[in-house]
Amino acid sequence: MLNPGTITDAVVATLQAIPALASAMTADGPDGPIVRIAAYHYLLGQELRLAETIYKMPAPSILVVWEGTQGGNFSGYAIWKHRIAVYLRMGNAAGIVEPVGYEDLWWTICNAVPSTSTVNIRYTNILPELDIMDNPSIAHLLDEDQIDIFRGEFVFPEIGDN
Amino acid sequence: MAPNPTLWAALTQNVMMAALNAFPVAAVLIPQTGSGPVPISCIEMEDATAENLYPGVQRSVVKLFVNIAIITPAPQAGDTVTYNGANYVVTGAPVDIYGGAVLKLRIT
Repeated sequence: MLNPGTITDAVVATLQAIPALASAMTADGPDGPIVRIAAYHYLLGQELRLAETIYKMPAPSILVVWEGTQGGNFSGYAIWKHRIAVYLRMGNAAGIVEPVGYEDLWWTICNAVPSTSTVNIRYTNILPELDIMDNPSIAHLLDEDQIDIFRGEFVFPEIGDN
Repeated sequence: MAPNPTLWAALTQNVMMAALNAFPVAAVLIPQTGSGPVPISCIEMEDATAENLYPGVQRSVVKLFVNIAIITPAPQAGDTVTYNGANYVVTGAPVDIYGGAVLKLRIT
């Protein structure tokens, strides 16, 4: 079975390679512009707990996190399905001529082509050991302050048992 | 004696405004209308979730109690606030029945 952390990092790299998405997630950092598409790994002592990390997400930003693996006999060769969540927090749209909202962000994630691929992320093998993802999903959430955020979900079948 | 909701609201308003006057903290509201920075006095309130903080790291989510009646233009979602050296976007400014409002801020 693949290390889910490797899958999380591969999703981050693929999302960062989508030019329109990277542009929408770019903000000024202390050392210049930064693309705020980041992975979360469960490292007690190095990372905050997941709920706090989501709560603290700046606007705009995307957080990618492994949220579980389903085992089973899905086909003749797939026995693991890895579930990767993508939390979206949009930027401030006030005064922006062409604001990028959640609808636009999700459309871009699903349909825009990363610079590292010739097809969109839905049809990309983000790792050689992974099949293309099952059809992705997204759902509306409210954070602790009743602010709109969205959680997308990618499910990647693993090819064989690595 | 039956409780008097109007009197209670007036008393609470007096307490909140007295606290605001006695312990004001400075912030700057930058309206999205482009009308220029507006100095405001505020009191920081408790967050929905406590945050772990490290040296040099600003709070990600801040709530500021303000006397909204004296702030022109009135704060609204999408405005920017500079507070404690960081820039925040106003995600909401719900008012209470005591003459105040809480600016909900998220770091940008």
